[in-house]
Amino acid sequence: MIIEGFEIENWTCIKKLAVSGLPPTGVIVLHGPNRTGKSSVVQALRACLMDYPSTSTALKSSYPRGTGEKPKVAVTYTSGGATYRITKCFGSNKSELASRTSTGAWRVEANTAPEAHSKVCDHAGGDDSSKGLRQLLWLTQAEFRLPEPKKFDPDIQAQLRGILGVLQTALDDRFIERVKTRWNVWHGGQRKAGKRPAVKEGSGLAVNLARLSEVQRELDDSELEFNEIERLLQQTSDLEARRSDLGRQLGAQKLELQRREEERERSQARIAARRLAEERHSRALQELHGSSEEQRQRSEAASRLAEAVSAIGPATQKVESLEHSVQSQETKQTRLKTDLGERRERRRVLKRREERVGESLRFVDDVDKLEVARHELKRAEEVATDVDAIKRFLAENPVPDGPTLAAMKATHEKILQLRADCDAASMSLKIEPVDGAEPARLSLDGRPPRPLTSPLESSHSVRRRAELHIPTWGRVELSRGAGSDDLDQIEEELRRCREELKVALAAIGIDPTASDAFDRLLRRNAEHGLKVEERRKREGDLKALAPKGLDPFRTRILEMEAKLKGAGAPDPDDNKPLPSDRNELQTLKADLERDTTALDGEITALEQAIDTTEATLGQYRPKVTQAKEVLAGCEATVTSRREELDRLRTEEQIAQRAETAKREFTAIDDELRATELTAEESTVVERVAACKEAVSALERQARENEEKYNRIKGRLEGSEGLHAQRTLLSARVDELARVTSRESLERDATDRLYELFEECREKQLGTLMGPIHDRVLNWMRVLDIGDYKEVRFGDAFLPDKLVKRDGTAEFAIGEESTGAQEQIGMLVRLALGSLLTHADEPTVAILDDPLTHCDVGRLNRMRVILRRSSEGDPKRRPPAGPLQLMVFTCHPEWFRDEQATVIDLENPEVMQRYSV
Amino acid sequence: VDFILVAGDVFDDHSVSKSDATRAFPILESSRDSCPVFIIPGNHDPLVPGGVWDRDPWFREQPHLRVHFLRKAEPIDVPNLPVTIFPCPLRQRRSLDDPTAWIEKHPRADDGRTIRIGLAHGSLNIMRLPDDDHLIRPDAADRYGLDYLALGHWHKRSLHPSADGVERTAYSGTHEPMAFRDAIDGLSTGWSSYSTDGVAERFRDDGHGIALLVTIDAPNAPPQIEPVETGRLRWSAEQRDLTGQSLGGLIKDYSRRESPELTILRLTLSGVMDPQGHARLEELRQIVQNRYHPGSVLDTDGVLIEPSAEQLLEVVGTGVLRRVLDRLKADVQSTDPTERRVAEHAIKLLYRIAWEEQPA
Repeated sequence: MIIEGFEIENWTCIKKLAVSGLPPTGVIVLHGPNRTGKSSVVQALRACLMDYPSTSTALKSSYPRGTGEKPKVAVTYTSGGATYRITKCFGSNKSELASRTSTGAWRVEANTAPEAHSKVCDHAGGDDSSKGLRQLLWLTQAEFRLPEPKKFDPDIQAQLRGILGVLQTALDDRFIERVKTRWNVWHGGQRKAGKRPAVKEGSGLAVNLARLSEVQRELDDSELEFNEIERLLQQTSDLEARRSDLGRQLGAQKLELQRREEERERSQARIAARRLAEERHSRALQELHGSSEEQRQRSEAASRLAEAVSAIGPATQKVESLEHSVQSQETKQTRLKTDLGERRERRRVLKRREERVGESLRFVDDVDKLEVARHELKRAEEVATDVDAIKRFLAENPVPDGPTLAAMKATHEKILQLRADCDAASMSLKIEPVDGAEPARLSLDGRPPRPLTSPLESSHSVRRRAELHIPTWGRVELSRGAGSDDLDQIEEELRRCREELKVALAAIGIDPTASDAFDRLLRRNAEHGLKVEERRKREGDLKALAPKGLDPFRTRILEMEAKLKGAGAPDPDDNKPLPSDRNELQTLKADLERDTTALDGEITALEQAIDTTEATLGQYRPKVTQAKEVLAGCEATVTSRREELDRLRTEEQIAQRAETAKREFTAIDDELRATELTAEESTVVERVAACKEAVSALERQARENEEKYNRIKGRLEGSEGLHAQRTLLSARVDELARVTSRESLERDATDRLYELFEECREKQLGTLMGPIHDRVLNWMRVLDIGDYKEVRFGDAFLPDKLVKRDGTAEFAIGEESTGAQEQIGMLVRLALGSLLTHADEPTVAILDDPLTHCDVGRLNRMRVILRRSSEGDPKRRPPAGPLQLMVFTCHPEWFRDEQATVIDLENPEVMQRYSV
Repeated sequence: VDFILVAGDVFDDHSVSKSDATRAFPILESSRDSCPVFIIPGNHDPLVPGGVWDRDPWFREQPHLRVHFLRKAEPIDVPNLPVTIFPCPLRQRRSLDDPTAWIEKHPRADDGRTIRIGLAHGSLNIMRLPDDDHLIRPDAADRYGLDYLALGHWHKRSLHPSADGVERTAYSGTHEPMAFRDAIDGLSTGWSSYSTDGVAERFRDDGHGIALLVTIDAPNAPPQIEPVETGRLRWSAEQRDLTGQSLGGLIKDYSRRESPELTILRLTLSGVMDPQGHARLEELRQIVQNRYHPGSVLDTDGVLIEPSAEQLLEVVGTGVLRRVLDRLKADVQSTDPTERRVAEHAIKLLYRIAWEEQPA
């Protein structure tokens, strides 16, 4: 179907609209600014062609407000090679469908609302303008996204299938639905290509796998426990054998212990007697050794005392020698310090005098500086006086600023020009009296008449009127007639300029009436410039002389004077007068500096000598102290040794003690021989202890063995039911493994079916959608949309994914910018729409306010694409049919080219609107 | 029957549950008209501290009414009969010792008026065996002067002649079968031989539960040995080829068998069948799992669905499914067994769903 024309009356804001003679293909641009009623036109077309019969009451919102009128829409269209005109008077039963005969007359096909509506819907291909091919080609305002695949008209998909080939059969559809249902038993969400899906939580398989894992873990634990029990089992017989062996050993060892204890009992009395003798022998031997030791100690103490006494003499001599040396060094140091004090006093006097000479020299310098400053102050004051005079002159003789002066000059120039213009506009009056004629009188432009005497006054310039009084003859009047407007204007302008100049001159004190008033202004301006320059120079001089101004300068001089008055106070320590001459003072200063330097040398030498004696004394003093400490130590040692000797017994007492001990020792030796023990008697105690130790060790081992045995026994008792547990767990593991294995196989097989189905469908889709894909991708490259190598189409023939040129990534269409989405959508609409259109039956596409997100560059290229797609391409396989593209827009420049049909909806011959 | 000898392994393990231990005792102890039962521990239920024999009711004071659990390796006289039993109880799962060796210290007395019967658990050392399998010397009966040596451990019945050609040494075999006949994998769930040679031939039964009825008239008289079938459970590993068979008949067959609850069934199906029939395999699986003894399984991995070319076109059509099928057929040729198995199953699934989704 294509639209040839339409007439709309009383539709919302549209009072009357008539469009006719639309071309069957190509781009038709219907434009008008916002609120013109473009979308209302589209609604009216939709309502008339498909959506509503004239009797519908659903369109009341489209009735024009406040007029009481009802909408009437008539559309002339071509369908199936015939031309029809449908006219619907909404809000009534008045509808008429007529066909055009070969003679151009209209023949009524139906004249009732239902019949007319039904027939026109048949021609249009449906009773819903948002379905069928219109879903692709009739865009509502600013609609930029493609329809969702699930909502894409199945009839259109079927048509596409018919053209492009069988993509997916009904069996395939049912099959994949079954597979998906099965797949969803184990998985959630959508299957992702190339990824092995995880098992869904809560699914039977997941539960069984979790159970299997848990039971397997329990079985592993049971196996561990079983292995531990088996290990313990192997130990039990060893422990039992060990128990038996230990029991036997323990019995034997206890018997031996009993035997040895009886032997010990028997030897007990002899052992006690022997022990007593040994103790007494030990004590006697100890006393004998004690007396010898005491004798040795006394002898050593006496020798140590003698040694200490002999050390006191040398120590005393050393102390005395060192003290003498210290005294000698202290005397020498006292003498050196006296000399040093004397030198330092002399140096202080010389230094003070040197300072006074320095002060005198600075005083002489300050006097000179004061003189110079006074001279400069005088010069500065003179310059300041000059500056003040110039400032006064400038104030008394003002000049206008630059722009004002320029304006005054322009005004003056204009006055001169206007005068010249006046002169040019004046009439020239030439009077040539004959010789002897009486002088005539001439009045020019209203001025009083004056006699013409001089022959030089034969020529006159007359602006408006001249009166010539000729004696004896009469009066001649020369007047400018009507049409002297130019002169009036010039004069008026001249007057205004003069007045303006006068005011400006008066403002700066120049008499405007003076004939050379403007020359005065120019002279003053020139003089003013010179004065300003001079002032600037003088101010520069003054700044150089007194940078901070005259007052700080004067203050500085006063300070210098005060300082000089305070200088030259006498020094009470030095009465010697100083010369006043600068040269003499400098000579004296040099002499004083030389003397001071010589004294500094002497002082340094004396200080070094004092330091040397101090160092020597520093070495001697610790030695004296050390020697005194040695002496005191010797004396203390003597005292200590003497006390030590006094504490010991006398030699007689020691000799008596030794004699007594010898006698005792001899007596006990006989007793020892009498109580000598046999080898058995002497070792019986140790042998009993060793046997007890062995019994204890065996008992401990038996105890440990028993404890270990009992532990194992307890552990084995605790393993009751372990076998049943293992068996049960093993059976459960087997059963769960079998079940999960079978279900996993089922899941894997289902997943594989799903995966293969998607792959095969994708591949088939790619093959079938090739022509559409290539056309859309080509257009996308023309528009420079992204850098894609592939557009993936989904089941519903609509694009699903974009694949980057390098194939590294896939993007959903929705990830592209809004503008790109709109453009891709438009390209797909055009490609699919063209595919469903035949060369002998073009289709109308209505685009309401399209491509609003498109930049100018792409719009220029999109314009070409729109035009080409509207033309169709019969050479394509499958062929692309032509389109009648009706674009409603407020931007006609976006879509208009040489071949487009452009209709201005603001043109009152096209559309009249109700005033809103 | 004067008395019964149980040559070990009453229990599968020394750590069996209390309920198992308690249930077994009255069967032997309280049966009316029963005779004395002499039991020794075997390598599965060795006499270990804390084991099943250390627990009630088996630890009660001896003698019981009928049960005589023989803990010690010492001769025991059978009450009221001229019979001496030489029990050889085991205390270990494995041992290098001959459990019968101690009998040598008790030679036959000169008068020889007592029938001497050895009762032991171990492997008769007549072939290549693990050293720690409680090996019993082959001439034990002759060497120890035994009229009969009753042995346990081996699952298959076997009799062994002495030097004089008389069979005095015998394994009765298990009183219930424990494995599918000719099965090459595990015998039964959770069972282990505890021998290092694992599931050797001597641990395979012949599918029947057997006891030996032994009659000995007098000392030195040759024993008369008669096998008695005692087994109730039936282990049945069956294979059926479904090609050209009606699955309905098969289902009927397996649902009408007698005492299926006493049959451990391993049914392996193979052959070619149509998808419609394939869908009923689940029905058969439910019968096997629910009616037969626990552990019964149905293996249908070998069942193939291979329609003719016409059926193929009819079932999968010319759309995407056709291509999917081609890909799966290629997968079936894969060298990866997992991939191959999945593909085979996927083909079955594809056929079944496609078949079910055919327009009525």
